[in-house]
Amino acid sequence: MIRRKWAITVIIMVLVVAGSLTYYYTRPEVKREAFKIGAVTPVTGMAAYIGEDEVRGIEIAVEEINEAGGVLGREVVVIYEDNEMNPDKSVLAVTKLIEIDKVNAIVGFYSTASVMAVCPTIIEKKIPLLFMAGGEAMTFLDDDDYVWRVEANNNMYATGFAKTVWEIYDYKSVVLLTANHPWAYDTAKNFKRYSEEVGLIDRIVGEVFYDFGMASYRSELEKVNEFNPEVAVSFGLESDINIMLTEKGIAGYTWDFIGGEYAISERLIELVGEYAEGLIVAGAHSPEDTVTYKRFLDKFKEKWGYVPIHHAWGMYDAITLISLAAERAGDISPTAIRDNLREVSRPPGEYVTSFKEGVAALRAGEEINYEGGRSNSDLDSRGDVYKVTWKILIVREGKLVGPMAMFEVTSGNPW
Amino acid sequence: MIQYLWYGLVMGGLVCLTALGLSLVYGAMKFPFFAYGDFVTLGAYVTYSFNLTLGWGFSISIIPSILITSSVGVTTYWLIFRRLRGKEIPSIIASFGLAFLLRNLIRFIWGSYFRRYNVKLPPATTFLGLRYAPHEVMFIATSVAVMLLLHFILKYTKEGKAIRALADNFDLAKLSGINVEHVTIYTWILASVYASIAGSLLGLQVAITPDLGWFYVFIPAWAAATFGGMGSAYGAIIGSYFISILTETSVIYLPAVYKQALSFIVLSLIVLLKPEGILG
Repeated sequence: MIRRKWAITVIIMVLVVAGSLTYYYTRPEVKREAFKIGAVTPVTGMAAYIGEDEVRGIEIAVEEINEAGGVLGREVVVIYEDNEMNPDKSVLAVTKLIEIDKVNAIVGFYSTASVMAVCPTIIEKKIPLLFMAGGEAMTFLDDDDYVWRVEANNNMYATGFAKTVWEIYDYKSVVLLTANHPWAYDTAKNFKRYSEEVGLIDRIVGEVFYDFGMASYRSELEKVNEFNPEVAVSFGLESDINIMLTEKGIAGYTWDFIGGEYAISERLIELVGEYAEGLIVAGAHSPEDTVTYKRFLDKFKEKWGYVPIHHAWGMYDAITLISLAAERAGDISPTAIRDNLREVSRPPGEYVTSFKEGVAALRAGEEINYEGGRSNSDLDSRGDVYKVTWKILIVREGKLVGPMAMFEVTSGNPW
Repeated sequence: MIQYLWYGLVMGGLVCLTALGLSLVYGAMKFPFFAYGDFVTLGAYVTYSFNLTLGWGFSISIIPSILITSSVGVTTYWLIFRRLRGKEIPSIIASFGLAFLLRNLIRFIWGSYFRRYNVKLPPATTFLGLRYAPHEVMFIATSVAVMLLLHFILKYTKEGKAIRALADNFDLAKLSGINVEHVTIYTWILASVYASIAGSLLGLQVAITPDLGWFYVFIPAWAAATFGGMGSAYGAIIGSYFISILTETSVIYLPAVYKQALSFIVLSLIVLLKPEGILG
């Protein structure tokens, strides 16, 4: 009888222990801690339309990665912060993401001034940052490889614009319309340097500086007109270019207008209507013939119903690169991500177009070369995108047509 | 020079509508109403909704915009600022809070991307060397009409005289039997009407965004109202035209990037030399 009681007690104990162990190893909390990425974008303020598309691009990347099983089995979670395109708020946002949220990497940023403001914190705290701004300062920064750009830098933009103006269109007189912003100043400076090198600096007949956020640019355009140019090249944003194009059209100025692809979307062309006719849109256009570009566009249009600005692809690439770097390292630590970003982005690895493809190749022991939606995403020795395809499009009957010309622009810093 | 003067007059008209509303609220409540730019934005968006979504003509769409913006204006006064009368700092803080609330509500309803009315702006014509566009003439004509109307109201109507009395001396106005509550509501309606008209016209000039009123006109209007004397409608008119003409013509001699800085220099000088403004 006693033996039977013992047997029952032992069976119950075994069941309890087995149950507890089963519960312990299958309970939801045992799922590994999430892989946290911070995103700092301008969700409010003058550049909110950019932040909105950036956030949507990030969401699509995160969805894809989590559907593919996450990074090293961890769910990817993005913690968003709004910087209003303001350097002070950017520093606060980054500090909060690092100190409180303990993120493993940070993406975002549209403005050079904001990136410059956060770089000291990023470098000191050793957290990889992948951003979209073009400012030259970050190229030459002693950043210990923590600062990366998934967009052409402004020297590449200046070269592209200068080649467009001098080689493709052979304009004889040019006015630069330069916004009061570090990115615009640097691009204009490099444009002039390139023009000097090719002996065409005399063809720049004037430069008009202007502020963001003005209700009218009539006086600025009048000033441009006084120089009697063949073309005005704008280093501005969508918010000021849409006003300028309308006012230029109403005033009946006949000179051409060149704007960057980062500032002129299909939605802007629709918004400006007939006054956008003849507008030349030049820039490091996203590679529309690639699998990554098309797949992302289809998903975006299905979800949101419009064609986003290029920053959406840029943020998609940033999240994918970070996740692939962690996968390659087998480690989600910021340093491991830093050490592997270049390795997953460039030749001679196997060409992959998504996180899912990349992970499959990595697990098969292959090296990978992620081909992005914004550019080919080959990260160079200074942490910039090495090569972009410069395309020149033109607005005809309300549509962007072209390319009228196409060439490659490189950063000049191969890995 | 004449062309830049014209641009100054056009901008002056737009700024003037906002500065007048700002000044009217200050006269009645004695605090700077920082949410006024967002009422301008609201006016633009409501006009946009009736014009584009419901297909109404632009001018007709301004009418519901005036009604809705005024209703929101009176409601916020009744719910918030009526209780804070005489408390300047809490009123300022509340107006900042209201500004953020309105701006983000607008963003939530209409989104962040730029919008434009379904209105074709015809090209400019040149007359005696002056290039002018029809909508620019409309801006100036509307602002002059609104100024004259305000002058008539303030000078010849019982409510207008009461508004002036309230702006001059609140306690004396109350003692002399003026229904302060009634006059204040009347002032808020008038200021909201101006915000709605200013926003609707501004939306023709620039693309509409949730930051329209705050970025594009609030700061120049604030400078203009302070220059003219906060609380003085006539001062706001003078300030608006002075600052707009000054900044637009400055482009002839200075880089255009200093336009905004020039407004602040004028503002700083007036605050230093005559803090009550030229007609304050």
